[in-house]
Amino acid sequence: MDFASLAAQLNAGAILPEVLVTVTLLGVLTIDLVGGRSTSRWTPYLGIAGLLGALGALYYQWGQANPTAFLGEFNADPLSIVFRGLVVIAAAVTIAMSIRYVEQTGTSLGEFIPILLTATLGGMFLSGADELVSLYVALETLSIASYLLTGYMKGDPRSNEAALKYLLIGAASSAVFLYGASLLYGLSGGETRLAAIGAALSTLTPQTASGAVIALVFVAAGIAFKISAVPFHQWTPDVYEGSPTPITAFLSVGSKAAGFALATRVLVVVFPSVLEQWHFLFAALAVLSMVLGNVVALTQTSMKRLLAYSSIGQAGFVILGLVAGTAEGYASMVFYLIVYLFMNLGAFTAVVLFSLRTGTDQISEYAGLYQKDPLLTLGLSLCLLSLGGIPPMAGFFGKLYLFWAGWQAGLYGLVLLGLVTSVVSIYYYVRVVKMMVVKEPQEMSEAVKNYPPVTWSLPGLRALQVGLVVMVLVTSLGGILSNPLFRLANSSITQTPLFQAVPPSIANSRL
Amino acid sequence: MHLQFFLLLAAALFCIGVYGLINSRSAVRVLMCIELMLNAVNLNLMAFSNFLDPQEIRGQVFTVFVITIAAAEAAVGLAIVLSIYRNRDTVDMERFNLLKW
Repeated sequence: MDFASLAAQLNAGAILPEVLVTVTLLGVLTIDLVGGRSTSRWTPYLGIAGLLGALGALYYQWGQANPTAFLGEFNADPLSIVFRGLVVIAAAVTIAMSIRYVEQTGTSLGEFIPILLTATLGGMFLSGADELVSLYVALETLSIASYLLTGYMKGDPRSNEAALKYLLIGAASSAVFLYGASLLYGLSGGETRLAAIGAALSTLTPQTASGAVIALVFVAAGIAFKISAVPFHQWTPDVYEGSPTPITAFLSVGSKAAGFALATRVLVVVFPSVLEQWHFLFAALAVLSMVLGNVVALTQTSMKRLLAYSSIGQAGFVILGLVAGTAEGYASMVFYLIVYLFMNLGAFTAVVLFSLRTGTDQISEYAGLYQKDPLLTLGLSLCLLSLGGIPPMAGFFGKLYLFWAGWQAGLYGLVLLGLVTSVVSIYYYVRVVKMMVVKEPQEMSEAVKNYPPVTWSLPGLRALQVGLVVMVLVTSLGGILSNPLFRLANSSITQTPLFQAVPPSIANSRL
Repeated sequence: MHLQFFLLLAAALFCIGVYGLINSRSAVRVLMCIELMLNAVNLNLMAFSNFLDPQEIRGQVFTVFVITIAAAEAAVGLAIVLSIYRNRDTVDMERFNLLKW
């Protein structure tokens, strides 16, 4: 059998975007090895080009007749395409904001970009994995690369400490997830494909169904770690604060999107037989995340920790869409994740820029920034207001759709709690905006008083500026012109076969 | 031999791993406890594979993947422990307190 017919038989074209990312990864690595450090002037742009190429390949995969590849190991349905796109965009923006950052901290870009691309690859495979083995391998590819990125600043004890905490908690939680996976393998009588496991679990008698609930608890613990839902969130603030800021951005968006892809696929395909139990479990996670994430964020003094707790709270909102269990619920979850990608990356780009110019992340140091750097202030303000859900920003429409879908599904308590906690969240976002904008010149912080003249000519800053402007534009215009994003989110659900069984609206009124 | 014996052994091993994870002060011991948990999973998979799936032995293949990735994870873990030891002269978990809320 020759290579071409083997590839056709396995439907290998489904992983073309991943192949492009792999080729870019190897290319960057080889060029850096052969050409030395001087090549780091342009290898980041090669990385971004490769990621954009992968995005193009994803676009052409949309609506493929036969999405299953590698004998059911991988699924290229529209759901996985959207999530893979999210991971790819997050990685591209992360590279754009890290060029200057990595150079200024005196470490090498030649290893940074290949490790980041490896994490991207893991996230992409995780979004499409349809079988326990490939799921686990993809999960670990993403995780191990993330540990390395977190500890990338070798001389900085905070980065070391964050990496160690992340590694220990991450490895433990993936072991717990794996224990759940081994139980699933046993309960289904030796199946590893998710669909086959789901079918086998639905034939269990009530006496043996408790096994499925135990497996669910183990698997849910692994998933909740990845999406940093309370009470599996303890690592999040520490890791977000200690890691290099661009990596924090990638973890809070790319890694989290991959986690939600994993959650959606595993919960919908494997656990329909214990639907009530997983809805209850995740509703509890959503309540805890929304309350704790948003309340603890009020007391933070570091911008990175503030965004860490805010991302925990945001994860709670997204879980609401998952728990709704209707087609609209899933579509609103995808829509919110798309919007969240742009606004959170925009906010992080601004934070990276501020720390490049002043060397600090403290919120109090942002006072009076408007006088010195209007573009940065405007970008950060718009993204924070969008995260808080102020109309007419994109974040408002994202939340509106989520809460509407939750209300339609009968989750009245959860939606009301979501509304209350988003009001709380507006307080701490607006506090930062107010500090930047309305302070009198004499109340300026030391960092802002010594603010260097605004210049974009340093190498790598131009890419960061483009990233910031694009993210802010999408965040602010994405609200009014949200129809394309909205249609994308909706069709990613309606065209995916695994949601065909989901009724458009079921009234499961609990909580 | 019954399948239950294997599962009980694996569950006991997993619990020992979790106990050690919570109670160890040395980062290296935490890493070893994680290996225990992964090996419990391997035992589970091998037992299920032998009793339920002797034709396609998917569980045994899964085990090979788990062992491989556990090795990669341990390598990265020890590298991080090494770099933290260089900076802080300790691997005691309770003295890693630069980051807290």
